[in-house]
Amino acid sequence: MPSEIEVDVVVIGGGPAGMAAAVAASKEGAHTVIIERERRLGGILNQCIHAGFGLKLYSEDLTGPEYAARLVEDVQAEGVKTFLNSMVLDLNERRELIVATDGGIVKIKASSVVLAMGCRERTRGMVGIVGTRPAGVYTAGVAQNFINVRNLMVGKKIVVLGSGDIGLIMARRLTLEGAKVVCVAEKMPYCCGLRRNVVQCLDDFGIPLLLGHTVTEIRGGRRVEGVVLSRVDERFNPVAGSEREVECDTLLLSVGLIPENELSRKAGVALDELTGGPVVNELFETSVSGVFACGNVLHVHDVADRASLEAYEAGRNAARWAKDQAQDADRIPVYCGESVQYVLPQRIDASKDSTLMFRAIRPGKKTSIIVLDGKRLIKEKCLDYVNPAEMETFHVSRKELEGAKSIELSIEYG
Amino acid sequence: MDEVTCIVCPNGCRIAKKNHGRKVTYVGNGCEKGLDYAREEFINPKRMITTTVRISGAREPLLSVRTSAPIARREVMELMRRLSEIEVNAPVKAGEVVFENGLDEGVVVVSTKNLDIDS
Repeated sequence: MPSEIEVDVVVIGGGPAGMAAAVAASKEGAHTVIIERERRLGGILNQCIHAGFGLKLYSEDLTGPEYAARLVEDVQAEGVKTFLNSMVLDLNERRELIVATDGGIVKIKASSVVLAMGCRERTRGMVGIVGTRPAGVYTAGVAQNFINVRNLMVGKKIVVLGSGDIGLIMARRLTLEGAKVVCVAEKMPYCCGLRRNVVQCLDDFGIPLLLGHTVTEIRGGRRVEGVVLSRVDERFNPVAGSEREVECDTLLLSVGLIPENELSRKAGVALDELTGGPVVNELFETSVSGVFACGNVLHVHDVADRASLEAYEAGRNAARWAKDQAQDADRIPVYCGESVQYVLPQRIDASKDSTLMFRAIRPGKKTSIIVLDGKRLIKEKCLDYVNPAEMETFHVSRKELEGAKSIELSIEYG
Repeated sequence: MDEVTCIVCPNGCRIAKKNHGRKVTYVGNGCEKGLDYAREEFINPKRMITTTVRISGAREPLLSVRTSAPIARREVMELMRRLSEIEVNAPVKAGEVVFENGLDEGVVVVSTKNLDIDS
């Protein structure tokens, strides 16, 4: 017979979001446990040896492992029980979990659940690059794990596809470790990572950034021997005649992240196709009562600090829900308007002040952020810059929301 | 390199250095902060370095480390070369100095995590 336990709050995932959620829930007095698939807490932070973490949360510039250590300390100080090397096999809408642990199968019945499973990388198959299937094609995160954790070098002459921050940081990392990074190709007409990373990861080492370019073919037998780079038009279709072969032994893909919602689906949690994560209200509660979501499983974040900050709220709310199960707010929908990738939360309680999180569809200067109720203007604010690489926030007060039936956030470019 | 991209704000000004005999001026900066940034970037650019070193006796093969302060950018590859030659022994605590050989101005390389002996 599998052992069975009952807890107030179960947190699935022990990364920057899961740890913060568990700490917050425990501080609210909830009996809280974390289920973590790896042998240690920290999630992706353990392989992110670069700095830039903690600026918002601790006002310090920390590396990933240092940032993780702060949260691990908090988890331990709170006495939160952690199941390591443990995998949640099933979750249902009654908040019952089946977990494979070192000690066998454990059934957990939780009053509330916090989803904090993070995200996964998009792969070669998902971007549809034709060609042979040689060794030497890696997603950037896998290469990061090999190089920073396992002491395995991935190649000597490398092309990186995708200019998101992970791609840029890996270009520098590979160069420091002695590899030659031939170029970083990006299909968009702008860089998708932070400018700091372009300067310090590419310019410092003279690595060219080819905007408006993509990899259209992978060549090689047992090992990658080269890739074909092509220019793309404004619809991102390769321009015939622009192909050129670049010799390399490795292709690194940094082509996007997808929230990992396999368990959420099992529990019947409604997902938003814009974020790839659950639809949530202002408490970070999903469509299934008592199931909350935060971090990269909810939407892919720009920095870990924001995932943790969001998780503190989700964890606190999950603990309160475990106590009193109050569920009586009247909520209005939040819609994603023009030039916006997504808006969160998708439902808000109009009787409270709200903070909307959103991402722009493209970079711009002198933009206006506009919130409408139908045709009525609720609030407008100028933002000097928007950048899809960074998450933006927008506050609306209870007073501004008075009488609103729904709201829609959009961006006007100047 | 006679042009740098300012990273002080999202504007990302391209700032160029102009030599007029002995006098040097900078053009392209949108503000005073950009001028300070450009001066430092042209005269002595510095970078914080994060990397790994081999460790023996721990459950993992690598220890993540960082420089205690930014070092001159031109020294970066030499530091990487020297770090490739060392191996530290577990246990190591976060913040512990693992390398101090020949870095300028008292900069050392410190561990960024605790690694215990694998028992």
